[in-house]
Amino acid sequence: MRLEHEWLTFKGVILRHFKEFVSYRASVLATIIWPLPLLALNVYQYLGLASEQQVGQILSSKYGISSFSGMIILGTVVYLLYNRMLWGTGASLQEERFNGTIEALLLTPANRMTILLASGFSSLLEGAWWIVGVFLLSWIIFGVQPAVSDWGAVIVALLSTMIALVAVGVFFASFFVLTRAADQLATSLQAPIRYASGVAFPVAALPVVFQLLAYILPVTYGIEALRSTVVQQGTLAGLVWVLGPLYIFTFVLIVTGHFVLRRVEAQAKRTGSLYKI
Amino acid sequence: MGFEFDFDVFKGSYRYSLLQTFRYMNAGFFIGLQVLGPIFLLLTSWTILQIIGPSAVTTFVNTSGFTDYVPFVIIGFAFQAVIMNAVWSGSNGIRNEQQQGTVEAIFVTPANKIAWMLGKIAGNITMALVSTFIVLTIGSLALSFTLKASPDILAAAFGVLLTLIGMTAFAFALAGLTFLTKKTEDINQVLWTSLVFFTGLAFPVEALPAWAQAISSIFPITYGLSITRGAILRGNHVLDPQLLFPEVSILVLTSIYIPIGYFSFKILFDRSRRKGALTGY
Repeated sequence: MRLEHEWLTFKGVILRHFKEFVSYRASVLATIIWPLPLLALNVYQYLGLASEQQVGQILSSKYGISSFSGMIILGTVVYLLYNRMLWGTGASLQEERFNGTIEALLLTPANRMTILLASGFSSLLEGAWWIVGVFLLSWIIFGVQPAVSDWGAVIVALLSTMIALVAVGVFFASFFVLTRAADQLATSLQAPIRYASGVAFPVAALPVVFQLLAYILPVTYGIEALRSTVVQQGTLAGLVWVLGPLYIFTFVLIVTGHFVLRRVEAQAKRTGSLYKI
Repeated sequence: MGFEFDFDVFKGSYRYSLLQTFRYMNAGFFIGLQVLGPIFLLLTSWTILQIIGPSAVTTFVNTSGFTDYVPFVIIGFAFQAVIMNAVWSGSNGIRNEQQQGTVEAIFVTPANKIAWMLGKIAGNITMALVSTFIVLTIGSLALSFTLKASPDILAAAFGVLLTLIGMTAFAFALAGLTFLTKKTEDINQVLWTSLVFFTGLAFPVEALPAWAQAISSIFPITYGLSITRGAILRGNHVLDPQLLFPEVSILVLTSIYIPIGYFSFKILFDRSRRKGALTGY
């Protein structure tokens, strides 16, 4: 593996994705405003039932959550990033197949993992607005004040979540090539994952069966880590129990993704079925 | 071309649209987006109700006039597929043909393009109706509630019918935009979530700020939901004064969206043909 080649591949994929992204002005605009209706829906699922004061009191007394809108906003941001990974990185190889370019791509000597990691990184760049913009809007619209006691913990939580989400994207990308119906599977999993990972409420509020599901989802830990550090004054030491499983998931997903991709590629090349949709 | 020929085009396009949903490549999308999607959003609302407690939903009771939130929200999310299909059907109909490289072939045939597009939308709206039924059934069986009045099925069916007609007209108005924007997926994502928010699937629109209520009043489904909820939860009949306003509103909106849809589709289609950009990305 030559670092120079890897860097060229990485840069090439990022530039390509960026050009594709900015070529459609409507897409850029949609990316910018998409979090708003989703955020508003999550907030009004509460405020359509009871006043903000009531909701705040209930969440604080039952689950120790001091910021209702902060809880929703952080959940929504992580979910949006997960979604971007799923459809940006996860579907990237499937997209090559649809475009008829997957054979050409996999004939090159470029490192597949570098391609996928670059794809994940560019999806993160595209979604970066959501982190900055949503916090800015939350501050303006909802008056959300972060309750941070350890900025180091916030940065670690954010970076760990982003890396874990890239790992999810890499895993799905390999998985998408393995089964031709993976995009349908991902679509079907979207709503259960949004529900079980506790985007709109603490995981403890879920029925027991969904709580079990929640703890096998990396998104849950990402949301938990960010909520803890941004609105609940969590510190780095207190994050160990959340970040531990997140790192394990990241490792397992990357390694599994790598081996699945290698195996699928070899098999598809042997059977000549790489291009089949 | 005569009406009979146009009807054949409509029928062919409708049948294709229905079959496409159940083919291997698409069945998962139907289950994921139109069954699991609304059911889990319904579960989200139900979980939030459990957090707040059914006796503390004062905003809901004061703004909606209903006392039980569960049937209210089941009916709401049963309509989610109608929203999704209205947003995606027209634009995806064109976009898929563009991606498959068949849009030019379709548009050089003498077939009526309006009939072709209506067939596609009608096929998707029919599937939305199936999803509505599934969500209503699963929601009613899984979440317990008691109806306070005996539902007026005729009025409820009338509400659903008006909603379908109104949203078909709305879908048609959106379809033409595909010629202009090309890549529609991201825009559709924003649109459907916005519609779910503004039309009050999960909460009464009266709980929204005034500016948001003004936006919600331009969507036919807001009134369709109002009619259906009134008929099922209050037992309002078709000529009930409480349903008169939403019924008239939905008819007025439909009569506005039909010409807008027709002309925008024609204008944008002609424009992209003139520019030779029918298949351009």
